[in-house]
Amino acid sequence: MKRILILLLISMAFHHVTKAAILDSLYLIKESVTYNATTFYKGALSDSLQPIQYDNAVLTVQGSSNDSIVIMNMDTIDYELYLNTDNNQTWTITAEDTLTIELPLLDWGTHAILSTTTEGKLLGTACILQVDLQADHIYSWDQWDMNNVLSQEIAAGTEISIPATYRPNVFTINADPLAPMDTSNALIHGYVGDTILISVLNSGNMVHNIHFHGYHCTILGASKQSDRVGWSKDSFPVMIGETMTLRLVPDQPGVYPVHNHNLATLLYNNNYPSGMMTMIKIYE
Amino acid sequence: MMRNKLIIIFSILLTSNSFSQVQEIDLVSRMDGSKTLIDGTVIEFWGYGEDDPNLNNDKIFIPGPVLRFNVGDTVIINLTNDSPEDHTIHWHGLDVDQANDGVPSTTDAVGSFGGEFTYTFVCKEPGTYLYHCHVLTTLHLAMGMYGSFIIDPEAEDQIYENSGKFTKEYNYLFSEMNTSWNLNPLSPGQFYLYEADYAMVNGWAGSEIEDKNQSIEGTINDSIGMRLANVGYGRVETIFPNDLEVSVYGSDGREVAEYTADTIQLYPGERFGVVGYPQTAIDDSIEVNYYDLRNENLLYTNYIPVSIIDDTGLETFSSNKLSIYPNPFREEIVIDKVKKRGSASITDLNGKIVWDGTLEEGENKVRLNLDQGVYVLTYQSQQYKLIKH
Repeated sequence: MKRILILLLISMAFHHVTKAAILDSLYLIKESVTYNATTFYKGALSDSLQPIQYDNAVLTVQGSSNDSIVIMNMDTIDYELYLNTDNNQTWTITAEDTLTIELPLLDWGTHAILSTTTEGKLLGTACILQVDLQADHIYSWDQWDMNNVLSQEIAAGTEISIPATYRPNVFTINADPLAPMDTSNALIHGYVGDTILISVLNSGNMVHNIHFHGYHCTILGASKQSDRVGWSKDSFPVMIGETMTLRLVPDQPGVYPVHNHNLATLLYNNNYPSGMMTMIKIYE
Repeated sequence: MMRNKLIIIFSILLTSNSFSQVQEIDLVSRMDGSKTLIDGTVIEFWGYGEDDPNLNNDKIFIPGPVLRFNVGDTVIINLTNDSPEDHTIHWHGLDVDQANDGVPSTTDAVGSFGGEFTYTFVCKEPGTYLYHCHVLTTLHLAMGMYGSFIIDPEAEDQIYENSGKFTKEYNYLFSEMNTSWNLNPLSPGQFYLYEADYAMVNGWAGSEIEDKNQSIEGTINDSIGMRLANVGYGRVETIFPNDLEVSVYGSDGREVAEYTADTIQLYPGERFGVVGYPQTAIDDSIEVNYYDLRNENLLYTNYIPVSIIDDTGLETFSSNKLSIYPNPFREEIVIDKVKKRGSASITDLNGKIVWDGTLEEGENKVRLNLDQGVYVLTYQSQQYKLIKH
């Protein structure tokens, strides 16, 4: 009887592994980051601890399979996670524990795993899921905002919400407050006529928006603005917790900025241009 | 400069088809504008004007002049910078090439004290666009360096090639101002502390909107074309009168599948093209609310009066709308254009009366010692939103 039970457990474990391929192992972190002498706390579902990657992971997902993600909680608090396109999909990961989460079957487009736990929600802990995207180039932009002093209070647990007097001074794309620089992974490269897909997530605490120079893009998916799917736009909002999928087919070469048109977000340490601006570089 | 201009024009003429035209205008950028706000405060602004001796030579306006062309036109815009700082013009939404994009890091800034630059591009898609300076944009745009750019389609009296026709047309550019920057532009402080505390429709606020002929007037047989654009840093909400059925035909210079809307939300840099169809006579207004994106606080409200006459039965009336300013207010509010003496009250959002009294015909000044928030003035069955800062 004992032998049968062991075989049954092995069989169940084997069945579990074959059913759900593990996409990646991610680290749930809450770390202080220093750019140009200003320090702020950032939460992330990170790909790497050595060196620490502060930007959220971007995973390629096949919508037709129940893929899994292993998450190692490196923090000393429990976290609640959820799928932004299906609030019924939630997971709890206890402090300093490891959890394998199985994704449901997902529709084509961009989804995200976000956190309802105060620290994760306010500090931008997330993971972008790109489901069945196919194009010449696929990129992602994760917009996040914070006040650097407030972030330290949130990380310490002394502040648990965004105050009415919220005045963010840190604006990032892919966790980088210096996104216009050539070192940023937010930069987009391509050739005239290429199809470029861009996944967008607003993991921040206020509505952001995007303005393209040089081109209009087509909104292929928007988790909170379904009425705008199919629109060709150069300026549009990204709601809090929203994921969008944009298609850009450049018809001219050149180097063009793309940025938030709330121009108070194009700053870091009062230097312009910084913050929520990056560049599109299109070659002939 | 002149030789380069001739080469550009000659090249365009060689490549243009018979329908397109070459249009050339001269603009000037300056940093010495002065404007009196509705509360009497005099602020400094920077902006654009037409560099033409016959047209307010060298004067700048907030917003800058409306630039309007036909689809297919090739435009040549000569900018002369008569100011002590560099400027550019970015053609927002027009998808021009890099050389004409007006971004200092990818092209060139137009140098101070007489610098010149010629922008040349083709107007490709009908619709509503913006133009603004892209040098230290956070400050320069907030100081007033912006305007509207319109491309008309080949189809007459339409905003797009495939949209409803209008018999009356109005263009509304919504913008805002952090007046402390305009009072002291050389020391604006930390940019992230930008606080919009004044908001405008085509550069006007409060009662100025009616006084400066920005009101919508027509008959129930009219169709009201409206171009709506937000160049501010927050969300603008336009709430249309109940009896004005509004169809949305496009946004950002591109057509969308037509839909009806009683409210349109415009986020920074967005534009919409709509046509309003009056269902009855209307004596009301379009409520324009300006919100702070950081906390969704309501910052300011303007009203665009709408007066639609039912001329089928020859019934006419004059507007009974009050003019209220400043709104938001601090201690005193002016309730103007009262047509007839009558009682009025002000309540908070819980319905508690915080003031009641009699409004005399004409102008009334009311001092209010209230907490910060939103209140409602009721007079002759009409309600007006008041914002206390």
